[in-house]
Amino acid sequence: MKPTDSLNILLVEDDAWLADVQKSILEKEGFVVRRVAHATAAMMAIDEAIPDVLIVDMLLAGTTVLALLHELQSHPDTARVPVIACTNLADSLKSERLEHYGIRRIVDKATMRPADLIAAVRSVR
Amino acid sequence: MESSGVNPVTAAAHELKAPLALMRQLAFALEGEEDPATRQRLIDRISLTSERALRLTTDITKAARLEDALFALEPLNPEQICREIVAELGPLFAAHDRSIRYEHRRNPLLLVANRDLLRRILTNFSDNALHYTAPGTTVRLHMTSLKSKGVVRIGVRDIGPAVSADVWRSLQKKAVMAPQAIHARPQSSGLGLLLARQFADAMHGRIGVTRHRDGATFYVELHASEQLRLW
Repeated sequence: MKPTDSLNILLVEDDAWLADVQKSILEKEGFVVRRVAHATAAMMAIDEAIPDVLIVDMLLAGTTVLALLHELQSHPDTARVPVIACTNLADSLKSERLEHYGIRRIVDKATMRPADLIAAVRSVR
Repeated sequence: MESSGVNPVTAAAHELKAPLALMRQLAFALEGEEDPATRQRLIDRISLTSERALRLTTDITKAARLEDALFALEPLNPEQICREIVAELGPLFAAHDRSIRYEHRRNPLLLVANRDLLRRILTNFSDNALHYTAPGTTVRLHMTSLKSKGVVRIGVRDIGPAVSADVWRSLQKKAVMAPQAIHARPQSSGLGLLLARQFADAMHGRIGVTRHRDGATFYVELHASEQLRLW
């Protein structure tokens, strides 16, 4: 298993300003972060290199994130990638239903502090 | 375009949650930032995000007053409104590495509308387009006369991510299988469109959307002014 500080993280977030903040938080911890804005770009990024952790906004523009996760779950190598859902809908998501999509943690955008995001990444690796 | 049936209070709370959550995260980032240029950029982003949230609260309060207040309709040339929106939202778009412009028409069009409500509709569509349009692209406001229907259409065109036909078909198939309703703008509760429709109704007009493979055009149609025929 890799030491957590060299983890490769793919961040899928369509709000560029929020993505900037999250990327900065993660990079200060030593993580290597790639950021894409939508599900199609995420598929292409995963084709290039499978990340150690995937962080996704649950309400992406364009193709839904569940379609992306459904696709990832259908391949053995990508099905193993732990997913963290970062969302404003945390209070209406049922984590047991999302496990089928590889989602291991849910982070509430409305209440999270920077340390919560780092803790979530460390908890899934 | 049908009403989503969503409770307006819930929808308003949902719509406001995103900018408020973003402002909170930007404030956290500001707290730990020492570089003056980065601090200023974060402050600018907090300011622009709060303005965007405030525009939504203005729309909500205006919609609540629709039944009580009289919104006078008058013949007007919407070009000036479009130019004002471009000037107002230009800095916000530039801060997001996008731009917005109005496509000038050689022959002016007159329609019957309330200046304030029409402005709110087009601002709403432009805000929506900002979220969806790709970095480096330009959102365009444009006008068309639909003479057979006696209406003028004002559209706001955004440019979304282009995908190959194969990938598109594959994703559409999977999206249909996903246990979630598919919307063109899934991050939205639809409140903005609901408000825009109410504003259009108050002016005896309608709103609609045309989807393109690389984006969408949200539009409002309003009656053309009879004065046009005198020109």
